Amino acid sequence: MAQSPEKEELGDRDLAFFGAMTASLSHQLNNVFTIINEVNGLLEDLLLASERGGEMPPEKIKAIAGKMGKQVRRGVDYVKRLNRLAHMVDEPEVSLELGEWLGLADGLCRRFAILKRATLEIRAPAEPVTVSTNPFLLLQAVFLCLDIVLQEAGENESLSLRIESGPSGSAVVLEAATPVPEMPVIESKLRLLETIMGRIGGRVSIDDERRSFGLWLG
Amino acid sequence: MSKIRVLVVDDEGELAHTVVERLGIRGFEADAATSGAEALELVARSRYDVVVLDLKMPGLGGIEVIDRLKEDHPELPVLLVTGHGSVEAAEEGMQAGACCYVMKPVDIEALAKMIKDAVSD
Repeated sequence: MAQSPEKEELGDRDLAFFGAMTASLSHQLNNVFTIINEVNGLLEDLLLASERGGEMPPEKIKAIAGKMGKQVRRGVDYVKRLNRLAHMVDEPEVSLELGEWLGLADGLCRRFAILKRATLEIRAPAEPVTVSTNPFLLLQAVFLCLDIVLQEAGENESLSLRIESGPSGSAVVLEAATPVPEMPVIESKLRLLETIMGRIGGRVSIDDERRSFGLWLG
Repeated sequence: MSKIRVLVVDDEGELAHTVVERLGIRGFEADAATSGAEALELVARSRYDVVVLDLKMPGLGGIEVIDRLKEDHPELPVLLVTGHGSVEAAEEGMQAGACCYVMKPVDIEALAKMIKDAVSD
């Protein structure tokens, strides 16, 4: 594919983020294959037992088939997400429906939040919100925002991610139950977040309580 | 001769329960836990001869579970199960006190042998 002359080169940090996202999705895909492997193995065990005179109840086979089908569907979903992630870097700017984009971000962000012992509620917008932006850099900004909010958060931190749209533009808004403290490592990450948003012509807003972070576009 | 009692810990419940069933077919007595916290509760309540532990779990992760097990049950062998991107973490788990590790997807016969070896050591 011919490269657009305006296409910005991805830096080391961008590549590291891309690597972390693909590693996360491939880890989950590996889990799917592991489950399929075990369930298939159980089927083989039961077949062997039935050849030796053991029982092979139809409802058991049905249950195993159901489990396999569920994991295959799950695996297909991960492959779709991996593919969408890969294509996020095709063009520096695309027309993006933020609600749909949030659906992809959901799968990646929720796992990150869970591993950090937080809960994440994703609130899709009631109406489509379309912006022209770089989906990969926006995803990177959301992840950095999550990282900032969870930096000093305790267990069971409650987060929500939603889309806002109004006269001042459209935004992905991350809200936390616990205020984010002011400390050097967090301020450093906030400056990085502003840099990333600056690359896509956007800006960061933080409420007075330091609980609500808006990633504004346009 | 009493059966070897195994606790299989993985946040993927489908996986943990299937491994439990397959180990049962192979003569083990196995239970499943789908979180580190649940695993610690079960170990506190019942006797197990070995723990098969997923390294990467939400909440209480594998390394933390090993640390806590080693405090209260230093003699209990812990066998780690990990994905391909986590070899370094698996080695960290070995340093924390796990006896060995295997990569997913796991071969059930190899797992059964490792369990028997861990118990006889």
